[in-house]
Amino acid sequence: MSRRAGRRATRRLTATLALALTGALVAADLLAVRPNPYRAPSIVALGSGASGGGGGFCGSLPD
Amino acid sequence: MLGALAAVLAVAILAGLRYGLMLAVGLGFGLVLEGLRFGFAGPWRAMILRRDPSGILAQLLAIGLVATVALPLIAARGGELLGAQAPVGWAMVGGAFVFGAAMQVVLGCGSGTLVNAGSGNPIALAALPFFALGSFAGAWHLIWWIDLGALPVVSVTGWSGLAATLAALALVAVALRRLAAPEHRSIPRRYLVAALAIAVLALANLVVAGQPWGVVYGLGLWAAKGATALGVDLSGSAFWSAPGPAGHVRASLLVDYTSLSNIGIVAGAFVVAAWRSGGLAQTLPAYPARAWVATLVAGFLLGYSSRLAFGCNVGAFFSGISTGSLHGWVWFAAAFAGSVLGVRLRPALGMEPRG
Repeated sequence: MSRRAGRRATRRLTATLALALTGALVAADLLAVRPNPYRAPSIVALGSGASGGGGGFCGSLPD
Repeated sequence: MLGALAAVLAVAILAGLRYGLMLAVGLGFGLVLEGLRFGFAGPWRAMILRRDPSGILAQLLAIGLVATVALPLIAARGGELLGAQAPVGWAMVGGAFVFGAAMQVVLGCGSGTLVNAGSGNPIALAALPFFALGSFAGAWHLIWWIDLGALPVVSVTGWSGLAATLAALALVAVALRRLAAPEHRSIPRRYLVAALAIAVLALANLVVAGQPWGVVYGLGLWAAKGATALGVDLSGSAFWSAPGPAGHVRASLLVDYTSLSNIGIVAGAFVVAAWRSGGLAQTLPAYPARAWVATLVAGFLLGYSSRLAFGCNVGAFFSGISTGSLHGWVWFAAAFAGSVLGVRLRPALGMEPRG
C-alpha cells in the first residue's frame, strides 16, 4: 500500500470544507446583490430610535 | 484570527458598521462555544444518560443572566428591541419534540451544528445543508401548520416578568439538582465562564440587532436564496412571498443579522479548532451507510421542525425564555422529551455502538 493511500482524511479537510462553503455562499450572494453601506442603520439598535429587528427571526410570522 | 478580523472589517465597509459588529458577535459565539466546549445537545444527553445536569444548569444560568438585563431593557426601550415572542400551538409542540429527537441523533442543535461543522465534524457538515433545506421547507408550510391550532402569544414583561422568569428558572434548577447523581451537583468552572460569556454575547446580539440571538431563520434564508437562484418561484408560499421574508431573500446576506451570526459561529469554531493543539488532526471516523442516511434525514428534520417550533435551542429555548415568552418553556419540555427518544435512537441508527 502506498503511503498516500494509507493516509486517512482528518478534520482539517472537513473544517476547511465548511469554511470554504460558507465563504462561497457569501461570495455567490455578493455577485447577485450588493449591500449599500450608505443605507446602513445606526451602529446599534439600542438608542437608535428606530424600530427593532428588521431582520428575520425564528419566531417571527409574516406580515 | 487575523482573517476573521479582516472579514469583520470587510463587512463593516461593504454593508455598514452594525453588520460588521453582528459578524463579530457571531465570531464570539463560535469562539466561546467551541473554545469552552459548551453547547445544548451534549448537556441534555448527559442529564438523560448520567443524571449530570451541570451543563443544563449553566444554560439556565446564562438564560437568567440575559433575562436580568433584557426584560427590563425591552420594557424600557420597547420598539427598538424585540423579544423572541411566539405562540404555543400543536405544531409548535410537535416541532420541538421532533427537534429534540433529531438533535440527539446528530448530537448538534442549531448552534451546535454550525460549531461542529466549523470544527470539522463530518456528521454536522453533512447535516448542515439539509438543515437549511428543512428550515426553508418548514417556513414554506408554516402557515398551514399554525392553522392546526395555536394560542395567542403569551409573554411576561418588565420587572414582574423578570421575577417570574427567575423564579421559574430557579425552580427548574432545584428540580434538576434533586434528580442529579451525587457527583454531578455542581457546575464546573468552565461552564460558569461559558455561561457568562454567552450571556454577554446574547445581550450584545440584542442591543446591536434589536432582536435576540437566533439561528434557523438564517439557514432557511440561505436555502431560499439558493432556490430562487435555481428558478424556484416562491410566490406559492404564504411565508416566503410575504413582504418581510421576500425582502430578505432579495437583500444581501450581509445585512441579515441571523446569517451574519451563523457565519461568525462557523468561522469562530474553525479558528479555535485550528488553533487548538491537534484540533484538526483527528482522523475522520467511519460510519455505516445507515448512519449517513440518518444524518441527512435528521438534518432536514432539524430545520423543518424548528420552523414549526418557532426556533431551536437558541431562538426558542434560550432567547424565548430570556425575553419572557411562554413558548420557550413549552419548547424546553417538548424538546427534552424528544431528546429522551433521540438518545435511544442513536445506537439503532449506527451513530454509536450499541450499549
